[in-house]
Amino acid sequence: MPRSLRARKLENAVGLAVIVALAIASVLPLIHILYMVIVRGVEAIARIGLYRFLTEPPHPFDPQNPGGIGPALVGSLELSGLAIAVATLIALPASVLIAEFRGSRISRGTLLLALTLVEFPTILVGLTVYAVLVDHVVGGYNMLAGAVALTLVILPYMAVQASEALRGVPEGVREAAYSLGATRLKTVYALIAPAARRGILVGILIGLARAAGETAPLLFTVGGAYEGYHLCLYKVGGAVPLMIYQFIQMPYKPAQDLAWGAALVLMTIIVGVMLLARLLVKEVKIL
Amino acid sequence: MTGYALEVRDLRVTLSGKRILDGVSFRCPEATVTAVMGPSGTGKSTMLRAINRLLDLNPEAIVEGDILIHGRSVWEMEPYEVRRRATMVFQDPNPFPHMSIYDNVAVGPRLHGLARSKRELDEIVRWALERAMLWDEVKDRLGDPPSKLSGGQRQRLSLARALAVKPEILLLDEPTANVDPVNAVKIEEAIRSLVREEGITVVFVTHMPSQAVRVSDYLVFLYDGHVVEQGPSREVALNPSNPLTEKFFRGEL
Repeated sequence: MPRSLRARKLENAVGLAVIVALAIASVLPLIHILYMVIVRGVEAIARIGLYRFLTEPPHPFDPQNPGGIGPALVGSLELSGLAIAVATLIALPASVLIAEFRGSRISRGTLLLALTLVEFPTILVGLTVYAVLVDHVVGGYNMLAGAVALTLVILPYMAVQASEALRGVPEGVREAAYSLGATRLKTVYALIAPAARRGILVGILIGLARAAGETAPLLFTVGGAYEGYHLCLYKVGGAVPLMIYQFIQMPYKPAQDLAWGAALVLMTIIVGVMLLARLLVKEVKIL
Repeated sequence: MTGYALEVRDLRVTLSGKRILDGVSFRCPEATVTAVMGPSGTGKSTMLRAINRLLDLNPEAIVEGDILIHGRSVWEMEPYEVRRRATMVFQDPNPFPHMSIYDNVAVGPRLHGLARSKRELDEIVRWALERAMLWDEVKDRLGDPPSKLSGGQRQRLSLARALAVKPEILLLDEPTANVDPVNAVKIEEAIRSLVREEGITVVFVTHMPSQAVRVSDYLVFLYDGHVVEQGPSREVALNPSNPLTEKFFRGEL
């Protein structure tokens, strides 16, 4: 006997309500994070003003003048800039190896290695770099070690992402490119990689966001120094996420406020980069 | 020299362990159109990809037998040289989506250093687009992306791109299959005049008997990986000696 229309409508409404409730529940933590960071961050930044917050060094023990995150911000720019530059230089050829020489042993090996490293605990990367660069070579915390650790963290991710972008080039376009009779490398660099450039750029952007946000690889590599601007590569330095980690643990209100303000700045940067990446993805057009 | 632009000798192709072509042989005299016909799935497209060594890129493919371009075996050449001398136009129009109409045509000559100046490059692009019967429609908007063209125009752009590297042989893989009739006629005309006026040799894969007869000088009828029948188009069409060919022409295969 068919159930009545009313019963089915009711069932539909209940089902829908459950789905909506679960969906809200799943994004609730995210909303809470955003809310906390914005409220506490705005409060901290407003006390001193945005410009001064972004440029001045911190005074974590001075409630009258808590200062800002200038050195950490510059340190983050230096670290992520270096990491992204080096990682891009290595990741692009690696992705070509993975995507365009499919089936060869070296291609499969590279992919396997990259996929393993993507899931590698970043603290171990930091530890390894610490053992080599901090402990042995330089003999103290230094920015170079931080940049190397960040590079190692984002490199496999970017190589995989770029190889996915290359593989996303439609088979027809790929065949057409090869059938023009250029050598394999020329074909890839002049025709196939440009066709995948948006996907590759998205990979670089996400790598950048990751480099800017990672903390673990920096814990025992850069050290953490925020009093002045430390650009020197073989000396101790700072970065925004590391500063958040260190300052939030201090038993002083100004230090904790600085951490919240820094969190808001970091979140803004990362959300901005991610939005840019999204826009690029949306504009990817395939005939 | 043999007088043949292309000779295929006992070509056997295995893809992922499956035998696709089993001893295919035929010859294409210079400046002629050879239509390769046969039902879907008989290995026509695979054969074209074997000829210009595109199959080299597929690790699953095993190619045996010999292919000669103007008497020289493709196995003695670098794959990219083979592909340049025998360029290909595919079933689906596939211009490079990230390049302008102009660049799509110019990219081949640029890669091969065919033009010494911008003017020479312009001339090659114009020649190729005229030859593909597209010039009049795009000459005022060469900077547009190919997405602004219709499907048929895109296919003619693909043809122009293949012509611009000045190939000796043109391999066409059902180039009109996904194109409206008006554009299909234009492509057929373009091919006929290319052969007549530029001396290019064409291998034209199609599954439409009427088109094969209209366009070609010679017919090769492929069935299940074998050449069932071949000869001058008129003869084969009017007087097929193999019952399979006859059935195909009647539209029963």
